[in-house]
This record gives sequence, C-alpha cells and structure tokens, in this order.
Amino acid sequence: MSTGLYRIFVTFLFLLLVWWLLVYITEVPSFILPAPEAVFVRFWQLRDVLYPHLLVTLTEIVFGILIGVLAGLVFAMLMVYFKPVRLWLLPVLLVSQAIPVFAIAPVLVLWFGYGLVSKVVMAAVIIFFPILMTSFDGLRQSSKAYLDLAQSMQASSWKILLRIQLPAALPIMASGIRMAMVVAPIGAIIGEWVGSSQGLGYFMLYANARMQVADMFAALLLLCLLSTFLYFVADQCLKRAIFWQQDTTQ
Amino acid sequence: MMLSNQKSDNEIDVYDIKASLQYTQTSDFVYQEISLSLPLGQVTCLLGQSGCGKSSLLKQLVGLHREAYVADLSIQNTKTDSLLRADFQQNVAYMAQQDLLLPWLSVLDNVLLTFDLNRLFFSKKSQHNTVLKEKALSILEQVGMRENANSKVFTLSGGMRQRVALARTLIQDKAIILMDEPFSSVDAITRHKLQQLSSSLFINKTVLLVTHDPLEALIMGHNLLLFPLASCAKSTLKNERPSVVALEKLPKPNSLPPRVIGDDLSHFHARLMQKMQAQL
Repeated sequence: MSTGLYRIFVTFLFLLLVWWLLVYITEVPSFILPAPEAVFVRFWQLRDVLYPHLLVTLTEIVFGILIGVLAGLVFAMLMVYFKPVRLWLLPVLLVSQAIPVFAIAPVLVLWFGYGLVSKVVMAAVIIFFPILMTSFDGLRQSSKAYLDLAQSMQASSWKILLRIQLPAALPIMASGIRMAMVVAPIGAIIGEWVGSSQGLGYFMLYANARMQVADMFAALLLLCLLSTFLYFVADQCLKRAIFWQQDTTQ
Repeated sequence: MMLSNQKSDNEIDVYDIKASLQYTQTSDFVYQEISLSLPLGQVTCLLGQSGCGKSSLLKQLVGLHREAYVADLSIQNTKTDSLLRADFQQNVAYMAQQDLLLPWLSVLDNVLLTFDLNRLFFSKKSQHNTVLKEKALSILEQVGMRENANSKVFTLSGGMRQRVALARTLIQDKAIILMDEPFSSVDAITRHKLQQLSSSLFINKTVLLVTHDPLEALIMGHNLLLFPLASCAKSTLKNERPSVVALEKLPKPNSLPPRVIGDDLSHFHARLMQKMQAQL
C-alpha cells in the first residue's frame, strides 16, 4: 500500500513538472494554459465556492451509478432468465448503443429538466450498457456443473440465480462496475454542460466563458480527484467482496 | 417406507431402471433402451470407457434434463412393482467429479448449501439454526473436517475439498446417492482414504458410482456393471425398436466392500482390465 502511495506521489510530481516546464518553456499565456501553481492557488481560494458544486456533481454521479448498476443488473437477470427477453431486447439494446449519448443529452435535459434528474439519467444511461453486458456475460458463464448440483438439491431457479449465479458472476461484473466508476462522471458533466445552474461541469463552463482558465483547471483538478476517489472506493469494496479470487498479477 | 431396506437372506429389493437418451437435434442416441438394476442399500459401480455415456445416464437419473436431449426413463421397484421415477428423484443426492464447493462460502456453509437453497425467504438462515449446524458439524466430524468448519474453501487441498463435498452429499439424508467419478481428481493415497471413508459412511444407502477405474469399483462395489460402448448401446436401424440391452454384470470377489487391495483383488483387477480392453 505504502509503495502504491509512493508511486502515485512520484507520478503526480512528474506530471506537475512536465506541466510546469511546458508553461515556462513555451511561455504560453495564462489564459491558454495556466501554470500549476496558479491553479493550486485558485483551487485553495475557491474551496468554499467549489464545495457546493462538488456536492451537486457527487450526488448526480452516485445516484447515476446506483440506478445504472441496478438497471443493468435487473435487465441482465431478465435476459438470462427469459429467453424471449434475450432474443428481442438484446438487438434493441445493441442498436441503441449506436446513438451517441452526448447527442441525446439535450433531449434528456428537455425531458427531465435542468435539475438533478437529467444528470442522474445521463450518468445512468452512460454506464448502463457496460454494466448490462458484463452482468449478462457473468451470469451466463456460470458453470453448468454448479447448476446441476443446485438442481439436484431441488432448488428453484430463482434461488439458483440469487445464491449461485449472482455471486459467481461478481468477478466479471466487477470490471463493469470499475468501468462505470470512471465513466459515470463523464455523463454527469455532459449533462451539466447542456443545461444546469450548479455542479462542477457548470462551473467549468462558466469559468471558461469568462476566460478564467485557472478556475476551470481548479474545477477539473477537483473532478479528477473525485473520479479517482470513487474508483478507489469501488475497487476496495469489490476486492473485499470477491475475496476468493486471487490476483495473479501481484 | 418404500425406500428403507433390510437385506434379507436371498432377496434384495431392487430398482429396475430402463433408460434411453437421444439428442433432440440429430435424433442420435447416446444410449438406447439400456437396463440395469440397483439393489437397495448396496453400492453399485458402473464401469465403462470415458465418453460412453455413463455420466449422461447418471445425470438422467438425477433428473437433470437438458433441452438438448430427449430422455426416456422408467424406474420400477421389483417388490412393489410400482413406477417410482418421481419418488426416486426426490430421494437422490448427487456428487459430481469436481467438488463444486462455492468459494464465497465457508466449509460449514457449503455443507449447509442444500438447506440454504430450499430455505424460504425471511426464514432463519441455516447457519443460525442450531439443529442444522450441529448436524453439519457432526457430519464434518465423520469426514474428519470438523476443525476446518469455518475455513475458507480456497485454503483447502483437493482431498479436503472432496471430503467437504462428501459431507454436503451426506447431510442431504437421501436414500440414494449418485456419484460421478468423485475421487478421480485426487492423488492415489487420498483417493484410497476417501474410498475407505465413503464406503464406511454408505451403510444402508443405495449408491450408484460411475467410475473408469476398475480398482475403485473393486474396492467399493457390492455389484459391478459394465457400460457398453456407444456403438453397442444403440441400434443401427433407426426405425427398428431395439431389444433392451441389460448392462453386463462383472465378476467380483465374494467379500464385502470396502475391500483391501491384495492378491485377491489384483486377480479380479486383471480380469476387469481384460474385459474393458476387449470392448475397444
């Protein structure tokens, strides 16, 4: 763990150095690319301003992830359980993925308003498909032998799904959930760009329009920290939940 | 009760089984109209080459009908002469080649799986039910795994895992146990121990053990049957209704299982090997 933190720290410093050198060698104007120290200063000065925006974006992301994961899981279970659902729904879902989520963002704002709901829907929609597919694959791939055993114990198919297929699918579903953690913020931010009055995405757009690029970078920094934090929390939870799987990369 | 049994001097109650299994798509038979009898309260070993369909037969007996098959199965009891199929399948515990322990459950919870799978929603979890827990622990004691009751499954060795699987099979308290090469994945010494152990625990159980190891059959079986090769188990003419093929009974020593490996057994071992090689 400590070596992990050390690596993160070194990488972070290295990137800062590259950024700093870039700014000082090219002498790019600060309204194009501000120096790192300027961003950090603004970050600190704006902490009270950014905080409520952070809370709004965090709420959108968390609800979006909860709804997206739940919806993906439920649809995956329906698809595994009922053959007609699988045969009819899967092509529709596949085709629906051809529509860029960014393109429907204005429509979502139109339908769900400028408030929280449209961003939550946006984040949920953007993670729905990865969650659905990983859950579907995970549930489908549970070994036939386990199902035979459970069936020999006269278990109902509902019980088999909950007690055997679902836990067995968790390692594969975990990839989808990890992916959702970093993709969901994108959905929320896009939603905020299209129409909102609060949130980090709104703040970035607002700062950008006023050429306060350092402010925008401060918000961006906060967003990065938020996404990383969400990923880290999810990763730790999943590792604990899937304790029986050994990580062979170590 | 129909399934309880007492071994009388000359007449033992027997399940008479007739089975056919056919692929739905190609209508090819895996086996057609084979018959075998399972004496109640005894261990019957089913020997055969791999791929001949003996595992499929076992699964059919458990009642695992796959969509891919057309299955035809009748089970009769010689004494009562009644059709028993549903009754039979209600009283079956199945043990597969792999241990099939669930890695996210402890050893104890794995043993209690059958109760957990049949538990009603909102009812007490079986691991909190003291009666069931005591029962599980006493069975784990019998298979020598009581100290490991709370261990995680992935910390166990292959032999230990098979012991837990055995406990999970026994706790179901079924009169019939169907086993599919249960000890084929462990080393020779462990296998021998498991064979002796399970033989001693199978008192009054009707067991059908599928194996490809003649020695295992000789150690554990009251009766030995030979599964015919696929080509013999089905008729070549599709429209002709074939005559029933009874599985061949193989020679065995007069002693009762579990038998000890020795000169007597190796003589029979050699004979069985010859028989099985002659099949090819």
